[in-house]
Amino acid sequence: MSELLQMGLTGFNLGLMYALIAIGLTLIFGVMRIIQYAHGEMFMLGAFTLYYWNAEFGLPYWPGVAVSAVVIFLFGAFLQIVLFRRLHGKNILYSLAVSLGLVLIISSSGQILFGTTVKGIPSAVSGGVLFAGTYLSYERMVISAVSAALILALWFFLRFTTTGLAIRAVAEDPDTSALQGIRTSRIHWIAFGLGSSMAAIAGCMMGTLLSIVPTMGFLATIKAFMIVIMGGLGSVLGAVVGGLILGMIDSVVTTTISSDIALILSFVVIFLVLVFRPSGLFGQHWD
Amino acid sequence: MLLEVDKLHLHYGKVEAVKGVTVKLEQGEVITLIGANGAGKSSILKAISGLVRPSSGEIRYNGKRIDKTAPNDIVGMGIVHVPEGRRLFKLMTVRENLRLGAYLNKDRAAIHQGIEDVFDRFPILREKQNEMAGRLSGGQQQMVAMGRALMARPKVLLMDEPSLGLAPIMIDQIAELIVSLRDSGLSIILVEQNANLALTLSNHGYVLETGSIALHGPSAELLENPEVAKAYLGA
Repeated sequence: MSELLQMGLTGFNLGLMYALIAIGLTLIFGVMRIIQYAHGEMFMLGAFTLYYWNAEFGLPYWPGVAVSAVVIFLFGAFLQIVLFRRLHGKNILYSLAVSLGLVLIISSSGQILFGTTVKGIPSAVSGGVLFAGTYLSYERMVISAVSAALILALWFFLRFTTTGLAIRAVAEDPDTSALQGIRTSRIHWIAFGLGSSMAAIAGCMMGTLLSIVPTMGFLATIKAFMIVIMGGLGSVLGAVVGGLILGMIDSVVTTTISSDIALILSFVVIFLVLVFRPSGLFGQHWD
Repeated sequence: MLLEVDKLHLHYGKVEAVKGVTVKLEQGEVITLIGANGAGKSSILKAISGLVRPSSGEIRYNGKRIDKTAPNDIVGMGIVHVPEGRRLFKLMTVRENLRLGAYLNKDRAAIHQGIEDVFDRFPILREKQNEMAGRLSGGQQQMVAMGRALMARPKVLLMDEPSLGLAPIMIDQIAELIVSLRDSGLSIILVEQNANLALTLSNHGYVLETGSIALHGPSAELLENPEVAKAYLGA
């Protein structure tokens, strides 16, 4: 029983972080209709920003998470303005090719700049509590709470702020958005920056729980795409539900069988979802 | 002259949709563009609102060229386009759609008052304000589209096929609204397939055929014109 509870909590924790990465990706796709394959690199850069801030320079952890989010927001917005703006409205293969190039550039540069040895970000919180025979680490609890709070904050932002409304409007119909006075090019870089900073924060959290290397972005991208396709392209709710499903599979199957089987089972679940709901759990039809 | 479309040419790829059209709109006037499908009526509205770029020709608003201006800036000048098919944000609520109409207005109190004004004009929308716009009937969706446009406090309203697909009772309501907007001094360009309705509501009419103006003049005269009556009024 306690083992089951432990697996469930780990899965929930992992799922929320997966959801953070996937929400970022789905936001970028929903607004710009481009494939950002270098999304995992934002996750990696976010983790390394916190690593240098906290572990190397000894600066406090939580402001470091905020700094990482801001730095990667600016980097994402820069990439959108310089590279991806020109690809908007073009065949999706262009953005795939450009972002694949970015993956190689960023992860190779990362290996040169950060080195190839595995690094760790020191925990901000230590200790834990025994509950029903299960050890609950304060660190995981805090990370889960922060991830959930961020997802909720994003939901409020998209629902109740003028810029959030504009992001949803541009995602639904860019031409009609422009007819309301919305400068769609501005919304594009905001969404790109915001999506990238969500991945960066997930990188900070994951980097604290596990370890960081410059090539860590690859698997994050794969998982984010799996979640977004399962949850439905462009759907924030789909990204949350998809993230939690994948987190649970990862936790339960990795603990009871192996991580390879967890990955295979994740794909099986995605295939099944797509067979019965070709647009994903909460997706719409994108032409 | 408030708005002037001068020798406008517009291409979609190699197809020339608008061929040297000149249209003039005075302050407080309602003009209508009538014609068959594909005559270029909607394309002219899209060119005015900046959604498509003209191949040549000029569009001037208060004497200033706007044919290279971005759509969001054109809205800022007070030219508001109600596109064909309503084009509501269907995954958003009625209230959110109305709020987006006032996107450029930063005054919260004015936005709130604007929404209340729309609800006073279309009371059913007050009841439906938290429903997804995509779930409303065609007539209610048209009310939202009109309300959303009015939220921007327009000086010129571009209306593309407002009566399309609506029940007769709703068409009467839309016609009443256009009359009340005209009487309040708003300048309107009305694109309609329902030529009888359009000519009845407008001061001046333009008949378009395959991208060119075949005929134009005071709407009352066009209503009496036998060619117009035969081709567009079902006489």
